Amino acid sequence: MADKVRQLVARVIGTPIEAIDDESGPDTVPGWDSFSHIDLALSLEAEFGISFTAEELMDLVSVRIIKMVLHEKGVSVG
Amino acid sequence: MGRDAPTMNRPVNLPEANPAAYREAARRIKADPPPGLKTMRLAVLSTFTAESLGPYMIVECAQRGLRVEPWFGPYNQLEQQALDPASPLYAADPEVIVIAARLEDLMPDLFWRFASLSPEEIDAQLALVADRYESLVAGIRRNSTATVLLSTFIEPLRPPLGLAGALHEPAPGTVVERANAALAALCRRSAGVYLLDLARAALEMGLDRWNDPKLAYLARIPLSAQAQIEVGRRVARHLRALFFPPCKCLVVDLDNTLWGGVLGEDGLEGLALGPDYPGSAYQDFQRALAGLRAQGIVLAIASKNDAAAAREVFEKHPDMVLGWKDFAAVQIHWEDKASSLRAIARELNIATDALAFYDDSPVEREWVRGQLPEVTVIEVPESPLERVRALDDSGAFDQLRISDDDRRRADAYRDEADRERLRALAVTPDEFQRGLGTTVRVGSLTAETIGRVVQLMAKTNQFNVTTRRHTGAQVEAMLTAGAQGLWLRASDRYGDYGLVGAALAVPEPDAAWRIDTFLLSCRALGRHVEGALLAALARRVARQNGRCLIGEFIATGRNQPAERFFAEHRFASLDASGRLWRLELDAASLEPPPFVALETCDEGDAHGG
Repeated sequence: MADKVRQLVARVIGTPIEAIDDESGPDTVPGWDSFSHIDLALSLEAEFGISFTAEELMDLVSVRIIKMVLHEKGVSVG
Repeated sequence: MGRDAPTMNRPVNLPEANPAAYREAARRIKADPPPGLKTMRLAVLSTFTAESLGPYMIVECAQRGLRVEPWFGPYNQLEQQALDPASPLYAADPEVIVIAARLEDLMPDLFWRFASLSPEEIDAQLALVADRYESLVAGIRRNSTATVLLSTFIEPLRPPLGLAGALHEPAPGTVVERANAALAALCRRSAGVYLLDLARAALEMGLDRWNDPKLAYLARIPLSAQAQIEVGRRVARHLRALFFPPCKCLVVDLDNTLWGGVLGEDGLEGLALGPDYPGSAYQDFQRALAGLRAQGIVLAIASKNDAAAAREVFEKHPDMVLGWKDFAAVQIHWEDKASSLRAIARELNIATDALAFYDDSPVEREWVRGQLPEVTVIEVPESPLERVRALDDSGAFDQLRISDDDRRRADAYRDEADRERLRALAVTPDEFQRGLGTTVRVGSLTAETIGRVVQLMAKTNQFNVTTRRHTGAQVEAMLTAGAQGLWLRASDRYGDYGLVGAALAVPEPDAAWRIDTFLLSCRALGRHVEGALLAALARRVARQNGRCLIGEFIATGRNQPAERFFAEHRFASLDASGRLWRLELDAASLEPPPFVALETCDEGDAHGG
């Protein structure tokens, strides 16, 4: 479960999971553009059965923040 | 997972239904195409962001034995691509071209101003849509033998006129059907042109939720549980409309209701209102209010605010949809809102039970409920995305029929001569541009406008020659040191694009001015707006006795749309890498491109007009 977020990021962007850590985000990962960002959010919603508000969606700017928001929604991601 | 192994008929397995899985599968197909796939060159022109469809098209095509790598046209550029033989569309040499346009993008008035359009005006709008497609298909045929797929128009989620729409003449749904019928007729008389029936696809997705085969077979109930709730809700709304008169007046709050933010804290400049989220949601809420007004509902304001400052927003904020005059009664002060509602009812000479109240503050709603139980207090959801839906669902203005007397004919829609001119079919890109009637307004960067321009600098990636993300303080320092800064707003006959461009030039020795920043939102591309911005900048610099502009292109991997800008605007290359460019300021460089009207607001007032 702990790596589920990193794994989804890697799958959406097409990069090895080793290249993604908690600090990864649009500014540090090539290919994490606005389309990837939307697709990542939609994939997280599908994976964890949750829904982001528009504001949350815009704020998901690093793996760490994604995990925090998921945690707030009651998803345990380690 | 129990999925079938791939065969020649089904060369790839379908991934799970989420973007990550489809992206992964699409990458695999691209890197290592399954054997036996037939390659097809597919191009998509759309009025909306369609690039995200790429992986789904790639994977679903591969599953059916086809290898596609779709090419997507730039945002909302149909004619710009289809009419120009030298366009990137034809350079991609597509075998199939999909045209995916939304009716609300082509003809926004059909949605937002429906109630104020006469049947003749609706006919005229539909004729314009048909003409546009005629011209697009003819343009493609002149330049390509590609098969063309026209996506059908889908009814909007929230149609105009509410419950009364269905028996209105014409009904909003019928209008969409007629637009689709025009597309079908065009297909029938054109070789190799077909419909991509997305309207049907949307209906089927809805019907999937509407039906529950289990209930249908076991109990002869042709409705899912969700559908049964919805039927109950509809019947209730009809009965309410039958037995209670609709509210006559909608009283709205201002802060976080008509616009995002608090005027007293954020100031006029800091309000969320404009083409981007969340300002776009507030704009749509204002459009919905304008639609109610056109149905004969009176609008009023009850706000705790400084009255003069609030009025200034109506008069100066460029992205306000509603004007001060749209409100028949206004109560802006620090008194309690129940008193405001009583005063509004008195002023309009109606009973307080004819008022509906829309305020984002639960405290104010509770207060009004307690003081004036006869007022319809609408529950307002926190998210700006749900605000229009809440207005509809309240049923406060539901009527079973809207008569012509109810409909307040707004200003004369367009004069006849204008409409005739618009009907002329565009054959060449120039004719299309002339018909667009693009107007560009520019003004000097001032303390009031810097904030919005800095936001634009922060988020513009595509048409941005240097991608410098300045802070407000940096821009201010540059201006103080003598830089020339411009903001740009653009509009055409299809609507207002808002604040979409900015440029900064700094003086250097020998009367040369270096272009530090030059950017345009991708919404405004394909309309020669960038040429107008350059002309405006050249004029400013010439007035400062500048003799030439130095352009700089810094490639970021995302700003290809700006790569050829300097070369295409008569700049001479200064180095082999294509980074530095130079334009001598002669008479020609001060002229805006043809078909673009350039207006200058020299006071630097982005709000005026």
